[in-house]
Amino acid sequence: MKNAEAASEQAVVAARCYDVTVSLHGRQVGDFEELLIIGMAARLAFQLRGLPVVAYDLLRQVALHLLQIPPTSLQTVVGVLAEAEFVRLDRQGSTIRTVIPTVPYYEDLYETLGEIASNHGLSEPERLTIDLVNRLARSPRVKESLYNDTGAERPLVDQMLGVGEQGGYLFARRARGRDVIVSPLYFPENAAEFADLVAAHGSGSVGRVIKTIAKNQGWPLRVIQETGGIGDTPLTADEVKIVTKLAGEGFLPPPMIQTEHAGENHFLFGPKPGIPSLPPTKRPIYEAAMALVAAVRQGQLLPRAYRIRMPLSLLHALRDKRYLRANSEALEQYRELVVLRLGRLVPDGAGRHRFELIDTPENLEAVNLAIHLVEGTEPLPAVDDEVVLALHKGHDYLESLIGRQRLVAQQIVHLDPEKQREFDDLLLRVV
Amino acid sequence: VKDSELKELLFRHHWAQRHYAQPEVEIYSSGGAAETARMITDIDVLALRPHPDLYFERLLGDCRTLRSQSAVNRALWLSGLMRFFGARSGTVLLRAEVGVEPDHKLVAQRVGVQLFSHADFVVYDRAVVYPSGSSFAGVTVQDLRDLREANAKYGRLRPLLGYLYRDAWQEPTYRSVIRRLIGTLREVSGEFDPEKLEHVVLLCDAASIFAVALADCAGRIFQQFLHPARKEDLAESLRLYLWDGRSRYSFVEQVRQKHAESLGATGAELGPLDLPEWNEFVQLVRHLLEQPREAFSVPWLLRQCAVDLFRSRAVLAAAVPKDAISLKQAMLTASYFCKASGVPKDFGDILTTILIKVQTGLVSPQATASPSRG
Repeated sequence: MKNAEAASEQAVVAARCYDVTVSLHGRQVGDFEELLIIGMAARLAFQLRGLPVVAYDLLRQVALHLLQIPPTSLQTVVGVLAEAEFVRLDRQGSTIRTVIPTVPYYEDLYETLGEIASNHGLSEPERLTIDLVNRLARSPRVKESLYNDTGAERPLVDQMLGVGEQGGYLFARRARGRDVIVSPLYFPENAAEFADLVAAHGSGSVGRVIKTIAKNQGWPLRVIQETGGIGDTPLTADEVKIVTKLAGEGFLPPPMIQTEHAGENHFLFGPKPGIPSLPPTKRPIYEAAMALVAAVRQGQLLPRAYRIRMPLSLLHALRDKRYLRANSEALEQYRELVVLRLGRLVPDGAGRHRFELIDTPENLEAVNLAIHLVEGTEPLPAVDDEVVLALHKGHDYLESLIGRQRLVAQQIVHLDPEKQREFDDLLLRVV
Repeated sequence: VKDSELKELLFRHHWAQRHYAQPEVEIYSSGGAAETARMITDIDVLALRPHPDLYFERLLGDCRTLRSQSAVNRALWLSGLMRFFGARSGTVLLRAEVGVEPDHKLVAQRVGVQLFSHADFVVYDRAVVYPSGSSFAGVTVQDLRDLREANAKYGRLRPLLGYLYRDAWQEPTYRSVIRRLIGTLREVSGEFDPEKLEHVVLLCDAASIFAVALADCAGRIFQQFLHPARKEDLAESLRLYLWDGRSRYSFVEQVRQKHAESLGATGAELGPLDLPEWNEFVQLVRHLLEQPREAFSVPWLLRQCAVDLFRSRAVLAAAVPKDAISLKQAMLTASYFCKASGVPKDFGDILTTILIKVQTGLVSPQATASPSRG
């Protein structure tokens, strides 16, 4: 039987490969090979799920123009997907003619791809990058601590941090006289505030608070301050201070609900996901999901008379039935959701209101996201509608998307200075 | 015109419209008093028409010489059979060259039966399957008769043939077909040899009958749950669907546990009672739920594939780009069916490879060689 812990670690490796690859946006790094192949395989798998047969020629164009997967790598990437049994291939000799997506539902795609990454083996710089990015996913880090924590040689850490800065998946901020490394993949907003928080309180405490909030998304600040904990997890006095800072002091204000019986309450959420998991077009959906979770937490933790006992069941009911039964607290609780056009409040004539979801794909997606938030699980990367349409409709649609752009400029993330010097020395010797 | 020609005409009329059709279905009373089930009557053509509300409508067809009966009497007989069978409508095709009495037609219409003389039906067929009529239909009654006959020489396959071409059509619900078809096939899986073409096509045709029940299953699950968010939710709904509710499922589980205990095993050693290759079955249904309407074309595609292979012609030459999803579903269905049946792995590989080639033909026709077994 597969070891669950090992499987989970492998899933994390594949997820980080995906994050780094998306952030590089097609740019090449001399030290990365398998990392990018696994990242591109994950990216392609998410887009292919549910599609019918795709001609390889079309896939090559879509992959290049919309997913930044170069044709020179595509065959290897598709080979990885075939190895994972995520696609069936029709080959003629070594030529792939068509790709038939069979990407499973429910299975953890990252877990399978992580297993393949582990079998293929990653280079030392790739392993270090994944380690660094994984640490930065939990909390920004003081740069000095990364040298000790990763156990890697200092020049290599500096080199991979440099690659990360050029690749756009991390950057350094000065805070309280220290260099703090932040990853915009996981902390896309309030970078300066997070850097300051970490410099003041240490990444251990900040990371623990963020992890606890992520497991209990939408917990009311007042309840945290009153109970000294989030959910079942007690916090230290210092950690409560961190929570209080997260709810103010320059951070974007968290969702707020005002009721007659409980006054004004702020509901805390972990950092919003970065672009790889949540493209800018999906941000309003995420914000609607946060507002919905806040409303549910209000009913769960700060009710007037009738407590929501099973928030997840309530959200499932909303998704499946498209409404919530009328109650006397609904008006104040769900008012903000009406403003966001997520639903409407329908009076029943007895002083109660029934909340009805406005049945659009975006609103349904927001409810699904809210379920993920309450479960404390990360939603999978969103499907890019343009990619799906291009693969469905073929070359003509793709042509209209890419216009006359025939050549895709490929940027290169530069080598570190040491390697550059070695290369220059080589040139001096041989030329 | 002989009765058999009328039967072909009616069968092809349905097949050309992509209605799944089964000729010569014998009817017997499954809870009957006789020691062995005796045939009571038969249906010349049973057709299944996909309905937009995600179920198959049953249509019955009858072809008669009318030596001792009036046309309307035959129509009234068919309407009784339709009620017995839960069919939507029926067609009586008469050998008489002269037209049918208008009053007979009117009465027949009131009970959901269309009455046609042979000459009238030719006109009707050309108007419905415009403009050439259904003469091009890719499967005939004779094809299916020959396919069955080619396997009847293997004595041990007879129970399977009996189930496929008689018993399966009298199951009260499709959920029974899913369970029993796999069970019956597993009983004789050791007889199947991938080197024998007739075995490959029999398995493909069996998969088409399985696909009928599977489409119905996907349609029902979709109507209730759309796309279940969690695998466990879908798995539990499928268990309850397949065993006709929780109490029946619990009962069968208990019987299974008692049996295991009587053999000295503890109940804890037993996993839940599921179909073979359960995880793959759940995944297969989830794939179908993505576009459940397409699943209703899968049986037709798989039977057409079986007959094309049997007759050594280009497989599914009539497939068009809009069949792409159904063809993928057909490939996944055949793959699961072969695995769950316990037949040698080669069967799954052969059918999957053929269906992959057909899909390639949809998007790059110039690359299509006629996919055949070799």
